[in-house]
Amino acid sequence: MKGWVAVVDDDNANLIAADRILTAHDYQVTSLRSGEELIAFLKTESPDLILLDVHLTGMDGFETIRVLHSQDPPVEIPIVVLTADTDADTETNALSAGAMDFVAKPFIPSVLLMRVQHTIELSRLQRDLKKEVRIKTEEALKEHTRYERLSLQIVKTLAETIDAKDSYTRGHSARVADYAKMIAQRAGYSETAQNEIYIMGLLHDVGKIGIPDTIINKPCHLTDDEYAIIRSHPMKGFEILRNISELPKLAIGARWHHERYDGKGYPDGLIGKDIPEEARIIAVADAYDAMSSRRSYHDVLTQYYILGELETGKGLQFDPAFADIMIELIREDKDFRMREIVESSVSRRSFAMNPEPKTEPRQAVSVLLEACGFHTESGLRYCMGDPSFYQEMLLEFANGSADRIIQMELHFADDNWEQFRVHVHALKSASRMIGADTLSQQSRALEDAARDCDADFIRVHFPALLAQLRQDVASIHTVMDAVK
Amino acid sequence: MTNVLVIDDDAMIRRMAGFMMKKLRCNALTAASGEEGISLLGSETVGLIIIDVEMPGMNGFETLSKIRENAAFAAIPACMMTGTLDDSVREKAAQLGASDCLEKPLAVPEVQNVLRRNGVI
Repeated sequence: MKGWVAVVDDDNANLIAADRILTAHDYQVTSLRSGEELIAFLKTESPDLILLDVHLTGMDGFETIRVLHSQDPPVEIPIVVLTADTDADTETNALSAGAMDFVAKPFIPSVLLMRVQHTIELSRLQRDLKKEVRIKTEEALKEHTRYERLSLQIVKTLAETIDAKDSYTRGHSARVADYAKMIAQRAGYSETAQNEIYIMGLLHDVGKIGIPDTIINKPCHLTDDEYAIIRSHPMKGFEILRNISELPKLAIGARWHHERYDGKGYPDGLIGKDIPEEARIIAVADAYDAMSSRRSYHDVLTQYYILGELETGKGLQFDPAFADIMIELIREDKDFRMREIVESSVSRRSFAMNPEPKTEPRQAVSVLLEACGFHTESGLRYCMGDPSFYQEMLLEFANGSADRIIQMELHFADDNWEQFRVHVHALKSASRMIGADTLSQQSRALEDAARDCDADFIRVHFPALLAQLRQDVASIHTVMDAVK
Repeated sequence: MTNVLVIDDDAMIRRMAGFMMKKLRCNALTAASGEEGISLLGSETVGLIIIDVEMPGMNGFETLSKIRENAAFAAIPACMMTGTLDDSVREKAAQLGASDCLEKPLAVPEVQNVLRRNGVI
């Protein structure tokens, strides 16, 4: 069978003639009497070709073609128009209506056969070609995706290599990339732009490749020379990435992620909106990851603390708009690693000797201290559930605080971080014992900073610790006076 | 009642330890520095020494090695305590012959275990 032809004509003689000619040459033929009949027929069947008379009763041939082509999906079966009018208008109309060819009536058998055969072959060829194009396009797309994936894998591996240089920054680049992309998304970046900033985030520290590991990993004070070397990593990264002409923006993130909004950053000291927007976003993401990651003293920084840093850094270190977005993201806390601080080991301990303090009637002291921000439950636990001993410890703490302050201030003034550390360490334990958790966390952060000789951090945060200590002592005195 | 010597520069910790020992039915002797602790060892019989690692002046490890220098005190079981107990502390403690470590703030069950292990209670 060479093919299946639907013949549409309201003239019986024509139908019979077409049927005879075509079936004699091994075609299957379906005879239909109107456009409406054809439309109904095509709902379920798909012949290889339609021979359509122009002058049909009811819907004429042109109208039928229009209907077929305007269906969704349009009928793609080739149509050859049958017409007794051999004028140019009819031919033009037929072809412009979407017919592939036309045959004059009465049929000349050989002509009809040749037209039918050619049209069917042509349309099969077209169909095959379309299929071929589709297959090739899919293959090309697959290849493209494969290359894209490969490039991304290479970039990620490179980022991991950079992070591996610094024992504290495992996964840092990938997280910065993620945070930067989230900020960009919130800021209304297109998906392409988001992906671009993601890659920029992955490679923002690429310049660290050129910094000796010994300097990157030095725990304590850097010399001025070493500090200058560290500060050269943005320019080094820029030099490395500027040659990637396919993604010219890559170099931007590397060069300007340490710029500050107030112009006090490096390497170029750009101010405000002069810093490329992507770099301003990466700067926020970078700072956030540094604060929230378990980097030496940073592991105790609370969400609250980070929010404070972002808030105060607005317009100074950070572009206010992007800092705000980061703050928003933190508040929503979607799957961020940062959680409310290390749960105090207190809650995991149980005491065999005394009943749970919770089951005892709450003491006035506890209620009042709770109102002052103390976590009295943990304080009471350390005091073995004994309220009067808890009060003794509170007073001991309050009475000893003046001496603690003097000791810390003394060593702080001398930059004697080793001794400073010993005293904030003691304060950490002592404050935890009485349930002054905020103070204890602040002490811990400062203790870790002192261990790392991070004078900058201590200078910034020591005043807050003193203020908290004084406030807690005042609270203890007030509460004790109240219950006397 | 066996004496337990607690050496810590922090008055709160000393009071806390004293209170805890009383509850655990032993007697706490307290010293505010390594030197004070060593001189107490000369006049009292002690079943266990608990020493704070972080102290100004002579720190806990120095105190312990000083104690160990005296043959009379070499066999007294010792326990180090610190706010941040990690492997480096444990290692150093073991090297100096301290059989146990405690994390501050002290919690009764842990202290109880240490006292039991060392035959104090």
